[in-house]
Amino acid sequence: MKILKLLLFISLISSVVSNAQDKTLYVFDSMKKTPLQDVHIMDASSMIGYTDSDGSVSVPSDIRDLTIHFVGYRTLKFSMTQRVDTAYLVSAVYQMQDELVVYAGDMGEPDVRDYNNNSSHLTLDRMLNNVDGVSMIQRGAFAWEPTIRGLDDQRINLTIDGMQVFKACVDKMDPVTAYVESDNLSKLEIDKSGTGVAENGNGKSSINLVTKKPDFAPFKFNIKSGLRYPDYYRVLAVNSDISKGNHAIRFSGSIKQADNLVAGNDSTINNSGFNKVNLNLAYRLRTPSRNVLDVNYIFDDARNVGYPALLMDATRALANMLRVQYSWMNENSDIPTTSLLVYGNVINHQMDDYSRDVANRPVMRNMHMPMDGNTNTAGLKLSRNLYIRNQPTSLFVEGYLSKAFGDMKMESLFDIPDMYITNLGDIYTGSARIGAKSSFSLSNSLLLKLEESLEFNRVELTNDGNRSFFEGLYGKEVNPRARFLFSSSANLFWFPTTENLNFSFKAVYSQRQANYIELYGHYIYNYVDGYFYDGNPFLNPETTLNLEVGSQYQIADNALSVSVYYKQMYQYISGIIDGSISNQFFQFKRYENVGDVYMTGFELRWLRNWSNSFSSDVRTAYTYAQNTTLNEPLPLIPPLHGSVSTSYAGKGFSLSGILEWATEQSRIANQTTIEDQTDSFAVLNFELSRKWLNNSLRSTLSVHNVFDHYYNQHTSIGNIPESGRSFMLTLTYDL
Amino acid sequence: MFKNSILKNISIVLLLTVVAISCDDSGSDNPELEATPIVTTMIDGYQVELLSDNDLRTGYNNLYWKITKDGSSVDIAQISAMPMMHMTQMSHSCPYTSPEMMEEFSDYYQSSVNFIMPSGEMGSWDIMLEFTTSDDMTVSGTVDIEVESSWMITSAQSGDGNTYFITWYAPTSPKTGNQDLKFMVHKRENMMSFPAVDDAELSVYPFMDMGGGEGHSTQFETPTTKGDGMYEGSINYSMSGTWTTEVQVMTSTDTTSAVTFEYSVIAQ
Ligand SMILES: [Cu+2]
Ligand SMILES: [Cu+2]
Repeated sequence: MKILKLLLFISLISSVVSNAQDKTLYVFDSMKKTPLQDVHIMDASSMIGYTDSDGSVSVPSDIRDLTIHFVGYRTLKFSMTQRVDTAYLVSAVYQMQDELVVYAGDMGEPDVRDYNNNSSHLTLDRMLNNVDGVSMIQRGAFAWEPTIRGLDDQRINLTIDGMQVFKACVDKMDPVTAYVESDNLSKLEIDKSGTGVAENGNGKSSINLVTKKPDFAPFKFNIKSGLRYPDYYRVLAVNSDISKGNHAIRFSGSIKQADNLVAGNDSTINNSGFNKVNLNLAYRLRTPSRNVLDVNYIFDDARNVGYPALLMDATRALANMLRVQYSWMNENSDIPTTSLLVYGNVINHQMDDYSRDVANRPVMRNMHMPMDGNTNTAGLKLSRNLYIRNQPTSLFVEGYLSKAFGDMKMESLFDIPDMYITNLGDIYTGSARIGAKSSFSLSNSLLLKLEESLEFNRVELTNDGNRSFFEGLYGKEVNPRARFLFSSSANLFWFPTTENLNFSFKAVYSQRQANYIELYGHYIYNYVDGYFYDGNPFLNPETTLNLEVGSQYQIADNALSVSVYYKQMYQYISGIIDGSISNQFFQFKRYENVGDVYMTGFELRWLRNWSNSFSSDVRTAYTYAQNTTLNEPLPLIPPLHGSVSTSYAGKGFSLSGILEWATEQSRIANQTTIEDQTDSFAVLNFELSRKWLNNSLRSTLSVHNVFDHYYNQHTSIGNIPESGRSFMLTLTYDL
Repeated sequence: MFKNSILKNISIVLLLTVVAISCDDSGSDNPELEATPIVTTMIDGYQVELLSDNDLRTGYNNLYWKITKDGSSVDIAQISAMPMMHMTQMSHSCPYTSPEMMEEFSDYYQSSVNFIMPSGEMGSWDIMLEFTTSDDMTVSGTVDIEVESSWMITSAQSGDGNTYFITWYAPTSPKTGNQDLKFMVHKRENMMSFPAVDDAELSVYPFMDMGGGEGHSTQFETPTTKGDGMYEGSINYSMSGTWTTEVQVMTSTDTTSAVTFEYSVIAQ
């Protein structure tokens, strides 16, 4: 896409008028700036020719729109504009990272790796929920927690523009995805297989939220307003870009509010409303040498957020994040040679149960228990792209330090003095690592990408009372947990024909240090199984081996993508019942390396443009996860599910219908977790978009759950249902 | 084991304190003990100073005695200190040990008392002190004391009608995390004799009532006998607040009813 834009730009500035002769097209590698030989040049119907050793090919002057295919490179649609033109192909090594890219704006040609989201009313949560292989754990209407292929939280990476952010709520009310609004999202980089070891430091599945950066347009302004019935979800958002010379500023702000969620059959879910303000200020400086300085500040303030699935509600969740990045750019490419990122973020979280009926709940009865938590993180990341023996290589050096604190006060309704507990006693997590990624062209049709990362990870509990508690619990001295962690991935791409078909074979080995909650969390209530969890300072790293085969087939109007994976986890960390102090009211678990777990599954996506105006998108995903040590399924694994959407785009309007479906989930955990079965469901949604006033105003009417089904996802904690039939009108005005 | 290392640390700290105190003391021959003064009285021309770790209270107390005559220390051959409570109908003693010269502070004699009742309307406490000097002078008298009430001792009856006193020896100020849990057990033979019980097994159950009887226990190690009536184990408080600990004493012949200590644990 970026290349397209670049080329469009080049073509616009060109003033040479073409004559009736043949024109010459040069095709170069975008990074190496070397000519590419034997590149296939096609027009809409037929082959025009192949490039020579100098990368040139002669194109008849009456042919303008070309498709450029070359093994190992991303297919490019190209428009000839002058007598001599140059096309830069982006190496598949960079494009075939197996990253799903969800663009928040319009996009070009259909690509199974791309997810379009021009539905301005979609929240980030819904957007993620639409990606095959991603499911959202719901604790209410707000701030869903992403899972990738059935894994969540400490088993996946969630980053914002490459920043490490740690949640401050021990009940997982504040997933990192809550801090970026869809209006301010440029794209989502989703690496499901976890091959991005060098970049991410481990082989976990990853989601990186890339925020929008300032645009060098003189002035852009966009205002959006939306209202939904019957929960009166209302949103007002403003986005603006201003630039002068080499300076550009972007402001983005939104206010969101909602009353209680209304599920199917008019059932109102109490304690499910929320209020949220999100602000984002970004500054970009372009130096004369094309280097780029980015400064980004994100402020997110959520208040009175109801969590019907939990014992309490968030009074206030506050995030402040600052990042500064300097990128040394390569000539004629959007990929920087070197970039340095420095960042810091502070997350604060307060929750309580003052608005709940505490006398009649199943656990922790007869008391209010306000809880506070915070995390403070600072880090830096240095990335460098270079060529070693003519092979593209990327190096990463990264480090961060994070401190986590959490406590709980217990105020009895009876005449009992207040009780107090420190859940996270000033726990410091420090990490330093190096990563490398290199690619090798084994032959014309084989590309190998290898990635490694070596990390030193250290987690220290500094609160004396908590450390003493763990020393008593385990009868050993508690020292900081310091480990070297090694992760590695191999990714082999095979392009068997010149057609746009490829296969990929991936192997990922990953080591994960237990996180600060698994190591040192104290007395943390888990809503999924109803146990209080204590950490285990002596946990060994969890090891994962992921094997995956994928295939992508893409011709002009038809695109298909399939991936099948098998993942084995060793020394899997899970809670084990601690019977010694449990009773009917309070049941305790401790984290242990329980043994082996395997997961297997697939994702399938098929995109079809039936005509210029009619298209469809079919997605399916399935995960099978089994704890082989306990011989039971893993908890919170989504069943076979998917969606079918068809869209019709007319002049100035578009209409789409989306069918979401899931089969029942009867594979449930009953030892590590007391789960229940979830029924199958299918719901139908509609969306009508229309443009007005010379396309500057857009209205979107969306109807969700047309037949007003009462249903819940399997990953909904406490079986909190999804919304019933709802109508939302969104207006977007561009100045 | 880490407990040993904690003990080792404590003893190092104590040693350093002692050394510091010793070094500080340049004016007199013998080091002065820093403790809470309880009472100073004159008996037959001898000044008797009684000190303790804190104001005297029911449960276990260390007593530190210093006897001087005309400002100089006295050589003592023999010394006894028997606590007595004088009530309207009768008098009784309580578990105690005899004073012994302290190693580090040779001017001081240390004994211990497990007071079983507080001073008050029910009666008053004194300690009968008797000592023989090296020149064979025997001096005796009483030292009046006040004993405050605390949660750290309780009595339990056995089925055979025997009374046992269970003293909460440690922790004196419980805090979150792991710490030694120590009890002392004494049996009342008669009003004057309370021998230490060394052959018992204890049954212990810590519990936090979080309201309406619902609550939770915490991890602990049941104390076992260490001699001289002392039982040692450990307790690991998961949170601060009010806790109870139920204790039952079982000997080869006797089983007491369960008694409960109630106290508050502070956050560390
Ligand atoms: Cu929370
Ligand atoms: Cu009495």
